[in-house]
Amino acid sequence: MTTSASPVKKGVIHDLGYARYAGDRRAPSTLWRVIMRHQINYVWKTWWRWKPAIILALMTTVSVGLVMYLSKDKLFDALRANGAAVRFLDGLVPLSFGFFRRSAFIITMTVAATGVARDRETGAFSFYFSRPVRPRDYVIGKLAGMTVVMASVLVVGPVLLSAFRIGLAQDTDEALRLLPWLSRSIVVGLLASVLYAAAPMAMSALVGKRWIALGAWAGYWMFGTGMLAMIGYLSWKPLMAIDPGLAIDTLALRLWHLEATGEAAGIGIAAAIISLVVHISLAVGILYWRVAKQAEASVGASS
Amino acid sequence: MTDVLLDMRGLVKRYGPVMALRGVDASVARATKVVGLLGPNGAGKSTLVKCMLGLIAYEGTARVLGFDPRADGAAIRARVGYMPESDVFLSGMTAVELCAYAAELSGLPRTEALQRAHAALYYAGLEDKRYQNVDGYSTGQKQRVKLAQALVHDPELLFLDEPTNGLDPRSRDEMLELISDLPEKRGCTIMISTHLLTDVDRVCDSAIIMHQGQVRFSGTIDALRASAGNTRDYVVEVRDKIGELYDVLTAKGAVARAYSPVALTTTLPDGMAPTDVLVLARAAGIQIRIIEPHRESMEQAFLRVVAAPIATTPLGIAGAAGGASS
Repeated sequence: MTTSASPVKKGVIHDLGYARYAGDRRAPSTLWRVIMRHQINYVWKTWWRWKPAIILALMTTVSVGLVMYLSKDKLFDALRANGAAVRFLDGLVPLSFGFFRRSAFIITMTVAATGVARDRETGAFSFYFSRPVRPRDYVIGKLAGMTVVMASVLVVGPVLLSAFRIGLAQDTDEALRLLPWLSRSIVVGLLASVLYAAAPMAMSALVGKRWIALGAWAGYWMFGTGMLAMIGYLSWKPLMAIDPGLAIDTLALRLWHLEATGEAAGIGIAAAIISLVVHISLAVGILYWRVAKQAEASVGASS
Repeated sequence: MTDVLLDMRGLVKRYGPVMALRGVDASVARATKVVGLLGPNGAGKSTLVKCMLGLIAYEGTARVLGFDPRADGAAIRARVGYMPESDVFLSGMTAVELCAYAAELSGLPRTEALQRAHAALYYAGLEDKRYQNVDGYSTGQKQRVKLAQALVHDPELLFLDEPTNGLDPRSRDEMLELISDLPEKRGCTIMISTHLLTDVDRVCDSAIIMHQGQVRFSGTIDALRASAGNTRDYVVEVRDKIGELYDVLTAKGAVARAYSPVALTTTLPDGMAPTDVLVLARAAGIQIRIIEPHRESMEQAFLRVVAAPIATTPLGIAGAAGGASS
């Protein structure tokens, strides 16, 4: 048997023994961490925003790992190292970034491409900027949160595969020689994570309307970048690195000292790095510029 | 701790060729409980709030809670609560999560933020709804959550923008009750921006009235009414014979206007006192029930202040607890 508490009379003011908070307050420079934590929580809460991409990335990791194990002695004709074909075992890890990028793209569609536009539409900017949050705290927090989310796919998968490859080493010497694979996976994965976080968020901040931002991002990533690569292919091969996806794949191949026989063959590591840095810088710049503008307009009395 | 909550001197804000603020001078004492920020659309209220929160650049000097908004905007915003007119909800969050997040963003540690979120929602009367998703709340509940998120971090100054907008009479009554109780319970000063002047009349003890980028009045509500300057207006209520009273008064040079079926307002001529009205009425066989000075409504006072000619120099304001100027 339960006893019901005495009903609270509506309209009557009631308080839980209020006392003013007199403790220390968090420094404004650390607020980005609160925003980052919120961003990760928000994405994790629903089943469809993050989890399907993680499952896909997991399936990719297992599948690539299986192919590496089962075909470890077979040659991978599409890749060359110093002119000679490499084994599947040694070629699949850098090539796997192309698969993991597809999982990351799902997350851009479910979260990143609508994130800032949603905040703008729902009045969240007013929520943030009437507090000590500065535009840079918001941008850093959101970017850091999304980068962590993207890294769960773009860093964890390749690192696991690299670790698996090291585990398949014939002897300790080979394992030690393969250790840099881990750091390479982290470098490429992190760069890709930042790019996949910043670019769609910039599009979202630029467009402002959630669904239009989503469409614009999907169009840009699926067709726009391909067209840019095509222009490079027809004019000057290094310009193909303007396609950021291709730049990531190329960077991975070059860091593993592999040559691609396909369209990425004409792109050097410098072009790939420049493309990624320019993309990320542009995206962060646009994001900050738009958010700073919105911050000014977000607060005010009714008029 | 300074005795002045807000102090603005010669505040000017230009948006290109448009001057949104034209030398705003105003001051609000810390002892003030609820001050109304009033003005027609485009008066400059939003711009003033943005300046006070350090969100936009301006000319002139300002101190808010002892801080300079230009240099210490973040410090001011950590001590100020803001309840906007529009929704501020982050989708997919419960009221507790939203308020705890708001408190953390205002600098409170995580555990403290969660405790304060529960307390703020309890205070706002949402204790039984606090684990529900805010997206599904009614308008009244949303207003309460907005209030809770604004006061969850113990602000010293609370900006409320149209807090009773869209509320039914009962919810509005409850919201105003909460607002008028806040200064005493939470030790904060409230600045309320609203177009509902009856709300101002009910909860505010002071007002700042803006028009065309200038402060046209700053002072107590009593001072606002007193600034009308006309002490010869009276309301006279009779048992009957209202028409005869009208004739008697106008015959003696008073101006009379119908007020209700049994009352009229009259402006007495110089040399005529309210007791003279009683004498005249007795002589005419009219039974007077009430005769009292006519109290100007907030709406009338507001329109009078706004309609007054614009001063050529910035208006000197003695402070919200002080006198009026217009």
